[in-house]
Amino acid sequence: MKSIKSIGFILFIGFSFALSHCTKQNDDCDPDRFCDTLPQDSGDLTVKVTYNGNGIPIILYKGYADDNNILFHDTLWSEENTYYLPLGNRYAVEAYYYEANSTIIALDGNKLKESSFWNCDEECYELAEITLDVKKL
Amino acid sequence: MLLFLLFSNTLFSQEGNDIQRANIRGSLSILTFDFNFDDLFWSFSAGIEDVQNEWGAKLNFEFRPFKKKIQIREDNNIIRQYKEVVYFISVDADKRFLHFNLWGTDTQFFAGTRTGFLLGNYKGTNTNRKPKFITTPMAGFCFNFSDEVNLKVGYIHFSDGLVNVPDSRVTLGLNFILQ
Repeated sequence: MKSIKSIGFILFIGFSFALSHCTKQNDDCDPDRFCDTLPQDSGDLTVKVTYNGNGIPIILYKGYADDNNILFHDTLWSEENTYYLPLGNRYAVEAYYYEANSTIIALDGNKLKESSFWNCDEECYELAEITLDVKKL
Repeated sequence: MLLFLLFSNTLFSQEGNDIQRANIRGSLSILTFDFNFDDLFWSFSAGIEDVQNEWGAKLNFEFRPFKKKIQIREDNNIIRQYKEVVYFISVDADKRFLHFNLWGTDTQFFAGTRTGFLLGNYKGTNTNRKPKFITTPMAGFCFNFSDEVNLKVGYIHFSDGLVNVPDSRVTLGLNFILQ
């Protein structure tokens, strides 16, 4: 019985923490805050690579990489680059690191979703951003 | 649970088995972690504990609570790097033995294994992690704080086939034995 009480207590603490993130404040209102009420159709996708002085070839896919729907090839000459792409799609990127005895192919992917917040009962749209991290381990 | 179902007939079918029945209790663990400097898994398990013979068997669900960059050797020349979500579904069995006092707490050694399938998926691809059947031996100390609560601390050999994560991990688990 004691153990059930202990388990119940631990679960209660856990649920309390979880629920504390659900108590969203809907009545926030800042009339001075800029609000763009027009939905955007594109957003920023940032690709991060490990740049070592040589260009890092990347392939950007629409959807999953194994769907093989290639949007474009590029070579990055810095640690990151940002592309402006349509919202509502999933994207994946592969970076190729050529080493003496092997090639490391790093993959990451995510969906570029509309981003908005509520202010004074108005839905305000902001620039959607995702980062695909294909830095080498 | 599987072991319980398999052996429950043997355990409970004979006459005069009330004592034996009383020795088999439910057990639950929600705070078990297997970790090293490069990785961490969180495990939930439930099953049975034979408090007289000091062994236990549980059905275990274990997962990494974050996406981790991992590398897998595809062939001699290609290494694939993914962000991985991974799960391990296993049957755990362990045996406790000896009793000694350590820092004022009744302590035992334990040895056991988790046997099951490692499953997962990767970000950016539909391809899932190839299911891998693994057995992870483990051993260590079990601190019996009471008849109902113990803490197991030990070593677990978790061979998940990753290039960048060592197989050696610490296992740390708080277990509740139900009345």
